[in-house]
Amino acid sequence: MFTTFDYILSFLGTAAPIYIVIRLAIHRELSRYFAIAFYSASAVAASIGLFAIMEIHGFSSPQYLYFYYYSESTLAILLYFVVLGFLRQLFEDLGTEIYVRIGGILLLSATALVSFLMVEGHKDYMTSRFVVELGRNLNFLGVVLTFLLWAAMMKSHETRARMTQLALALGIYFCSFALSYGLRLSHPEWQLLKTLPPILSTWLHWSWAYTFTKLPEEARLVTLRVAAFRTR
Amino acid sequence: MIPVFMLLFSAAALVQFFVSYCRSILVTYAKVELSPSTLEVAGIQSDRIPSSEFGRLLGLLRFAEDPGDDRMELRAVRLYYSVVRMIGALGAPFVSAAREWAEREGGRCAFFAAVALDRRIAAVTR
Repeated sequence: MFTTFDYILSFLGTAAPIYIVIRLAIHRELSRYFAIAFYSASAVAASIGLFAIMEIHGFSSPQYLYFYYYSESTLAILLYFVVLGFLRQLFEDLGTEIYVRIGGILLLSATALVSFLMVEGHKDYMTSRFVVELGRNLNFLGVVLTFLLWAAMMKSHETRARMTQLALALGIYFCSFALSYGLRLSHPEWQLLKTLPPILSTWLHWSWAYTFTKLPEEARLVTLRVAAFRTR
Repeated sequence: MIPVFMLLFSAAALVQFFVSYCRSILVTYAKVELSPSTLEVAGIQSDRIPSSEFGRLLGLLRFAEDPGDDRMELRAVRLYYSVVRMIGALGAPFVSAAREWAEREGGRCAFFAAVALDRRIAAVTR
């Protein structure tokens, strides 16, 4: 059953990515933040598709379930491009972005292959346990990638405030997602964990929208001053 | 074994990202200088505000006109303050550094609340 809360969340979760894309286009920053714009546009398309499937086949239909989890997995993979985009920006000055590209292509190919094999092996009996496992694995890879990005930002003394906040919000999102999926495997009866993913997606978009609005590209901060744990 | 490792790693990384995210907000505000009128209204003596003042400053914020553009920051900092207080309370009996850290971070949160108040007072008096 789709509740009023779900409708409000869907509206908020669609409005924020639309705002991000429009804002980036108006400020001519689409090429700089192309991965974020593409992810946001894809999130809007996924929301519209999900709503259409719910109207046609119903909320409890297998079509809805398939679309929900496949679109979620695809969006998680698209977020890897966002992390890779940040890494590319970070290593641009050092002239080593070619290694990021090669590493990114290898990582994405491996993830796509493993995910395809997992989904192919379960296509006839796509159990809820399987989709939760897939979601957990994809998001955990996101955690590791974002953690590497954060470590690289600290190591290179990155000062771009915008990039820092966008990356940290992404880290919070991936970690919370991986945790909620991980806990769902051991506690499938906890209903709160099922409502967390859409809340987290909405939060990520609002947080990004907020960063783009409040922080100009020129804003700077010392990354080492904000790090929770650091080595000297 | 692997799922437990994934859970623990994600939890530890979440703490790291959350604390850093909140600090990135606090650091941005730490550069602001408080106006004399805000210091007077809030009853603050200097720019070094103790952690215990956070709740009182939030109370004062409720009386000021809400510009609506700092709600997300306020929510994040309020949550961060609760986490800092909890860590301070749990860690203080074992590690004295935990109490100092909690006091320092709580002070940053209090300063953030004072800057938010400063912005609201400035908006009214302008």
